[in-house]
Amino acid sequence: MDYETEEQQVEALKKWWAENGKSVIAGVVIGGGVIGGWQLWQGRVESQAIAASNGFSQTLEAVTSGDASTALSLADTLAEDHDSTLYASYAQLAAARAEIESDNLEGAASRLAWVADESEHPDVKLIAAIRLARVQGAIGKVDEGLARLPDTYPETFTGLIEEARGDLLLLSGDTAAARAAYEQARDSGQVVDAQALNMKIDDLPPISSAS
Amino acid sequence: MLLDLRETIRNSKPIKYTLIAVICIPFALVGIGSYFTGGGNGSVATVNGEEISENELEYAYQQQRQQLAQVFGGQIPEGFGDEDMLRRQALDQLVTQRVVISEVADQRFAVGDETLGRAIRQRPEFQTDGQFDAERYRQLLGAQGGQVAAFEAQFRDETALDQFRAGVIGTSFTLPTEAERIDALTRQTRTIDAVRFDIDSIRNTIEIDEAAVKGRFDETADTLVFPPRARIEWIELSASDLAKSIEVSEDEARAWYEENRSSYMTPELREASHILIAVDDAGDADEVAEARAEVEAIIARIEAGESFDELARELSDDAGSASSGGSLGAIRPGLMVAPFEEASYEIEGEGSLSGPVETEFGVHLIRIDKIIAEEGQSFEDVREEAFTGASRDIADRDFFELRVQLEELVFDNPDSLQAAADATGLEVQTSDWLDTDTDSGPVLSHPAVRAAMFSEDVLDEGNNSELIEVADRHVVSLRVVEYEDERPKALDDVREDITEQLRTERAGEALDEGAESALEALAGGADVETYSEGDENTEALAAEVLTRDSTVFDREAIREIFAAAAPTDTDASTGVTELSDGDRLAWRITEIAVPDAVVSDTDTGTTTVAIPSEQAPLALSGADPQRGNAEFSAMIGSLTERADVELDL
Repeated sequence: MDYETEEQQVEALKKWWAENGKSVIAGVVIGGGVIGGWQLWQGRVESQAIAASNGFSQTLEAVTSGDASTALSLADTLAEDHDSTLYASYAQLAAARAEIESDNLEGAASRLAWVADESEHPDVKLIAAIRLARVQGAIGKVDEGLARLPDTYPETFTGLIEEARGDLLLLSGDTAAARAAYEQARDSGQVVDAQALNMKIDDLPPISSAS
Repeated sequence: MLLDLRETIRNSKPIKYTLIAVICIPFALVGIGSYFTGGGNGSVATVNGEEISENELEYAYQQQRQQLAQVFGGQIPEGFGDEDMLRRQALDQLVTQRVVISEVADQRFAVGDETLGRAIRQRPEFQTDGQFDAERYRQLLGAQGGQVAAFEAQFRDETALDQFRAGVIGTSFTLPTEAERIDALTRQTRTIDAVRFDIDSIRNTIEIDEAAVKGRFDETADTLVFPPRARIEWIELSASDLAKSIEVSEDEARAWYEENRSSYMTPELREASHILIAVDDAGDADEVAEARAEVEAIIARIEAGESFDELARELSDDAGSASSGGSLGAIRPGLMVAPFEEASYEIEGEGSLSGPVETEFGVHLIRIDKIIAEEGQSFEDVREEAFTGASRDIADRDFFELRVQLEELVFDNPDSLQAAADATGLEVQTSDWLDTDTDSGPVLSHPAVRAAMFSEDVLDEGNNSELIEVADRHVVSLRVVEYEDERPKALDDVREDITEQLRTERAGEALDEGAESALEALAGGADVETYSEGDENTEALAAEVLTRDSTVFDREAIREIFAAAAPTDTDASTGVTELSDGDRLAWRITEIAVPDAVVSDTDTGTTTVAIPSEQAPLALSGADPQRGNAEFSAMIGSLTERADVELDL
């Protein structure tokens, strides 16, 4: 558009403002509100995360210094307030270690079960499940332990899962199946302690030529 | 003008196509790819949307190389870890790193001030006597030129990563029952009764007849060959040989000593004092003459009995030394300006004075306070060493001169070494047959000499080899005189080897037979002592207690015995094992046990045996980092599998 004079320009602006002024103000207000709200939300998320982080690191410090009761109550608080975070799962894993160190395997089992069932992180769930299976083997719940070990899992977990399965199968008396699991663990090349696993395998009764 | 150009181009086909061709050239040369990735900063992989740049990979790769080189003491052996493989490893590591970092962000890991503060306070480098030391913290950060805020931001990220690891590694555990089981397996002992069949004693009793040797020879003749061999001529130049024929004169030895004087003698030291009459301009003859006169006057006063020290305090313009009576302490060579130093070394005897000495500062009067004579070993003390040293230096010099000549001569006369020998006074030597199976000494069997002798240039073309360095200051050049390709061995060449081989086989068969029947006897409960009685080829081992790390037999045999089934009431556990020296061992497990832990009481000096059932369960505390690390790396592996990783290589 071409304007003849300055007055015409001012006139046009005024007209435009009369037509659109309200929408502009509303837009600014809404936009500002959204940005402010987003920042508030972000700040809340951040402070939540910081609180959870602090809770976890205090839990682990309490476990390390042998203060089991502090560790357990910190972990419980985290599980209530921040149940969906990885920090809450980690704190429960720490609490399970504290329970084992105070010789309460049942307590450890229920905490590990919480992580195995509730955690939103697939790998941490799996780590908890393997730990739980081992604890259940130690308290005589061999079948429940075996049920905790999945048949399909990420390949990098082969060593951990199959060695644990071998231990449980041996407890159940099925030495042939135990051997198969141990050998699968050994062949994966990702075991905790290859020498110890070899001793376990050597200690099994040899495969009888009849079968 | 631009318009003109446009018109011209538009209207001229040749110019138009030339321009297009010119624009195409850079694409043809560097490839279209680098137009889009931007050369060295291009990305080699993308992990969950984050790029890994070529530069990062290059840096990681170089670090990997350095680490590997360190492992091998400076150089990576050839063929070990080729570039592609190392690059691949470096990339894998970077990918894993990115996966972890992006997971830590996804899981909303955040470290607040409180957690950060605790983490910092726990770092040993910021502690004094086990307590956090705020002063030390600030000092250390200051000393590194780091700013507290920048450090804390970085440490915040590291702490989040630590938390991510600690949640798995720090919470891992070993159950008491698991530890007991491994402990029992480790300490397990197995007791065996065994008969050992000695291969050496039986070998000597075995006769091998010619027909058998001939038969074996006929079967294997086509694999029995001598390696290729060559006779060579060579010429050898070494500094140590040169040194042998060098006669060092007394003068040369003395000259060598003087050159190396500083390694044998500490130089003479002089302590001096001075009085300085300063001049503003050392170029002004009048001013200097005035100062000179003043110094002459001072000399006269000292000779008349006045004290040097007093006069220095009173008159010296060198403020630094005046107050201490002019004393400068020890003057080492090179410390003072040249005229001063020369004058002070010309003065004879302690307490003597110089005349007036002019320097750029003015006119000095110098007194020598003390002379500390040079000390150490004189030429006579190290005479032998000086002769050897001189001869070595001369030999080295000759060596490098001759080496240059020789290098040219063997290259310029490729058909013979004689020209090189004549010009340098060296001798052409001729070798016996050389091959890769025979050790012919450090020079002729040197790998580089062998490689040269069978190289295309020397063997096929008949040229002299280049100079080969077989040791420090020791080179050779060679040519092949005669060559023989690999050729079949005759029966006579291998009769002895085949005889020995057959003897070992026959002896082994005999032992196997013996061991098998021993095995049956052992399974039937026979007593080993009785069994081997009267047979001098066997040795009885009764109630031999083995642990897993026993060294009575080789590791494989021990492992076999520990992997055998436990004996039951109805079934004995037996086996035959071939030992690494060829002996055979027939064994029967009589007992499997876990020995009691022996507890020593240092207070009473008694040793008691703890009975397993009464033993307290193994007290376990602390995380199990070995298991934790295995769990964590399984988790990282699985994360990496799930991550969105694109390799752009």
